[in-house]
Amino acid sequence: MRRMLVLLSACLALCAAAARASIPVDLEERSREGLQHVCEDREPGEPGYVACTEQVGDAQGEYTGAECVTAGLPPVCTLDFVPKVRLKGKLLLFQDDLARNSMGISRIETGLVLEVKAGRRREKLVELFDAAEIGHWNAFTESFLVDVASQIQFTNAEESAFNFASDNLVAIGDALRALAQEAFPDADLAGAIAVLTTVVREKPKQNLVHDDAADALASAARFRVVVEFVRLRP
Amino acid sequence: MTIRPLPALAAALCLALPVTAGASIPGNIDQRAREGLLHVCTDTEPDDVDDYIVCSEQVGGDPQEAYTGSECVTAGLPATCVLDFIPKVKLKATLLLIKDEVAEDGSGGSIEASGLVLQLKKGKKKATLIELFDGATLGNWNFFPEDFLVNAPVVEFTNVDQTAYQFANGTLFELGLDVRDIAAGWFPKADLSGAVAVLTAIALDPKSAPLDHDGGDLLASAATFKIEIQFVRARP
Repeated sequence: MRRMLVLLSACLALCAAAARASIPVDLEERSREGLQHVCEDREPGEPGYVACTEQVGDAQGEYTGAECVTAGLPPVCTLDFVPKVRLKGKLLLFQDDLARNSMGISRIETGLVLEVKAGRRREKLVELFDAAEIGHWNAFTESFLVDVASQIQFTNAEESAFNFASDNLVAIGDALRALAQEAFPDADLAGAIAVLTTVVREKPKQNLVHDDAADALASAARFRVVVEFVRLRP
Repeated sequence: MTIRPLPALAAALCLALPVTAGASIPGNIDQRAREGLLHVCTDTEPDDVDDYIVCSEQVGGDPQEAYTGSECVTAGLPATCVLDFIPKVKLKATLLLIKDEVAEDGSGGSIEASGLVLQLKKGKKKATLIELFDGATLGNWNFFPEDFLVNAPVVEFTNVDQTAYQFANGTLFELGLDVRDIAAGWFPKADLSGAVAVLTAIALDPKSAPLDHDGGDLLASAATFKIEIQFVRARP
């Protein structure tokens, strides 16, 4: 079970689970299972730092907040953010429905270039992915990227909704944590993971529009993002 | 050697061919250039009726072989053939080359993938083009590993063995067409309709260290290059 939790925690890297974002159903369930929830977002050792543990049904069920009531607090559980550790960045997302090989055969590939400012350092992280899935964005199409009307939605009302989370983003999440740890040496990020708390389209008129079925070039869009860190469940 | 239809070959040469005086031309790229790109005795323009002499005779009649320059001698010029560049059309660009030997899917599987982000610039005008590729081949770079990006001090336009790197054609075809379209918009007086984009300079950006994630690291490696693109007329 512990191994499962560790794996799950790893899978939660870079998940959209902040108070400022609407948490989609399955992501919220993952969040409950993997991320530390507290009655108030205070720090360990502070008065009022009460961890939520009781959940409805299973590890993915809602927290009841029973521990909060016992402590004289409202029965509300929130994510346990590491304070004052925040990375701002620019995210270039791209997808190519016709990523070809030298034999003329093509497949779907996606990628990202994430430029983050960590303290005084500016770092660039680059990742490529096979197919249409980035983290929990299970249907990541070129048309999504170039639709200027669409914002990144932290909702999961249907199968094609986009969540920026976990799975093949584990490595980049770990890299972000390492960067943040170096930039914020006083913070203890050993038990925390990176989560995206803001994703906003930037310069949508400059989107690269190549989503025509016959267009071999990749489509791309730029976003401003904020990355914060949430403690994991012990 | 099968002679390919020239329009197709010319198209295949898009964004290709390190073929200027400033770059060493590898053997097979040289051959492709001979077959697809127009060669002339001196790089003057077609309206220069005295000096614009097209080279056509090739050793053995093979379209990939060296030009003899016999037409030049007939015209009283040295027996040398050079590429027929479009004059005064040069794009400077930043090229981010990406390689990921472990590009994961959503199920724990992975493939080898590569990609590029090309940012073109002319004055205040800018344009970005992005391409992804399946596998280790990017144009004519047939073996494009991560450690090349992080270890190679410069891109060598040589092909001394199978692992040498050439930035040319193949999967770069559409990218070349887009580069040409952009250039045509930025240089409206130039006739680029019969020309293809060629890389004429490429050097690591000294201000941007390569991203080294080689050797089992799941992240992609990448390197930024400063490049120049010019245009060469294709053979009719």
